[in-house]
Amino acid sequence: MKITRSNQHLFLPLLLLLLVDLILILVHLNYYQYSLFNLDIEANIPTIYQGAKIFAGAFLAFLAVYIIGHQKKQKSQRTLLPRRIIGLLGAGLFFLGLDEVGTIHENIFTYLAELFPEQLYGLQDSLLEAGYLSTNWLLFYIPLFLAAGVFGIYAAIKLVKTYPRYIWLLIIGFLLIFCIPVIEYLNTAPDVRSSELYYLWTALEEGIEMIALSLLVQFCYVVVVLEEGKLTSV
Amino acid sequence: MTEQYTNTLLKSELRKHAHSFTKLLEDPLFVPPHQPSVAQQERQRKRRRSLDTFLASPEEANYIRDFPVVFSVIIYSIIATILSKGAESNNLSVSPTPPQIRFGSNRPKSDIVIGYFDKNVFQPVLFVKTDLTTHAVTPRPVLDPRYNVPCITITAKQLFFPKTDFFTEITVTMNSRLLDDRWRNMFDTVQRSLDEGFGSIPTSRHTTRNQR
Repeated sequence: MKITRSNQHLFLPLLLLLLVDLILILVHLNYYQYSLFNLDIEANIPTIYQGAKIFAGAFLAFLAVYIIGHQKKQKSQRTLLPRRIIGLLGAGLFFLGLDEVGTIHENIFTYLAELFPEQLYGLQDSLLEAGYLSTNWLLFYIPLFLAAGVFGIYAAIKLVKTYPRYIWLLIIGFLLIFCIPVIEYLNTAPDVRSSELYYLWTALEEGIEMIALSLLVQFCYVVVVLEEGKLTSV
Repeated sequence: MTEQYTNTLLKSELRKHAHSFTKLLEDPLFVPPHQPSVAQQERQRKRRRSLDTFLASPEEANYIRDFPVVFSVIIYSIIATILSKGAESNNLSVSPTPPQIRFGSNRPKSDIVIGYFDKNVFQPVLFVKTDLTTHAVTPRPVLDPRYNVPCITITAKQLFFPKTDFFTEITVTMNSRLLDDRWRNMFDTVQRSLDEGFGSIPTSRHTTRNQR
């Protein structure tokens, strides 16, 4: 079987993204004292790379929605559900991209505390008294992570028949995303954060985040290629 | 009887359509639908077929085989780095330097080093009060490259609330459940140094790098 040039490179984006992910982790491990390369610091090379990657994923998802929608005009098949799911995936990636480049989650407590100071500081005091010592943004994002988990399961079930060979990208991507809050909770606990191995935990958490999003971006890319193939074959 | 009737009906329908189709072709304004060229059809057919067998094809296996060398080198480097850093950290002795505070005079627009810490001691949560608001500060431990020992830093952004251009008072309090003697000493030093250094703290917005 001869492979056409475009299809031969179907997994090239994933390989390149994973390559850059690993290089950034390696650079962080060796040069974390420099803010430019530290994965735990915002507005530097890893943040810009990650933000650009997530926005690219969102763009690909929206492109896939457009292509599938265009197919509907030519074939009378049911395409509304895949479009909605991939559209939601794109919207989620777009929000994540905004969050990454805008450092929203790092500042969410500050933003909300300006609006509701008494409630927020009261909540913080009671949480501290109750023994919660990890980062405070996690509390505000737990509902989002849960929603992402439910969406990931739903999307995998609904899209498994459409993209059986590539659904693993989506499943593993969402599984890794679900690991992020757990690791974030652990590595921002005082005893871990105070240890000199904190940067290793950072590398683990940020590495999982980067690989998860690389898989989701690759899934969006595969959907675009497959659906574009269907479009031209009609 | 019914079958015969259906056949007759079908034939008459076909004849009618054939007639209208012939008329259509004769129409000078008729534009036939786009037919992909033979080369295009062949390309599309190959694409469909190759997509189905992409993962299982030997070409793909060859293609993937080119990457492990690069990946292996990077992953090996990561593991080696982690192992070597882990070994270094085991040998890293706790700094004998007593808690100390330096405001950003040595490192303008940079972090404020509030002291060195023992890795076995819990980290405090500091509350910085300004005239407008109170906000929690979780000092962030980093490895100070100049001294190669772990130290706690508070970023200027953390200490000076970004929206607080002017403030009259900074009070640092610490979560009581975390207090022990060693941290109490450090806390006293922090408080004293904040009091002493208050005059040198800029009363306008202090810009610094954004740090988690």
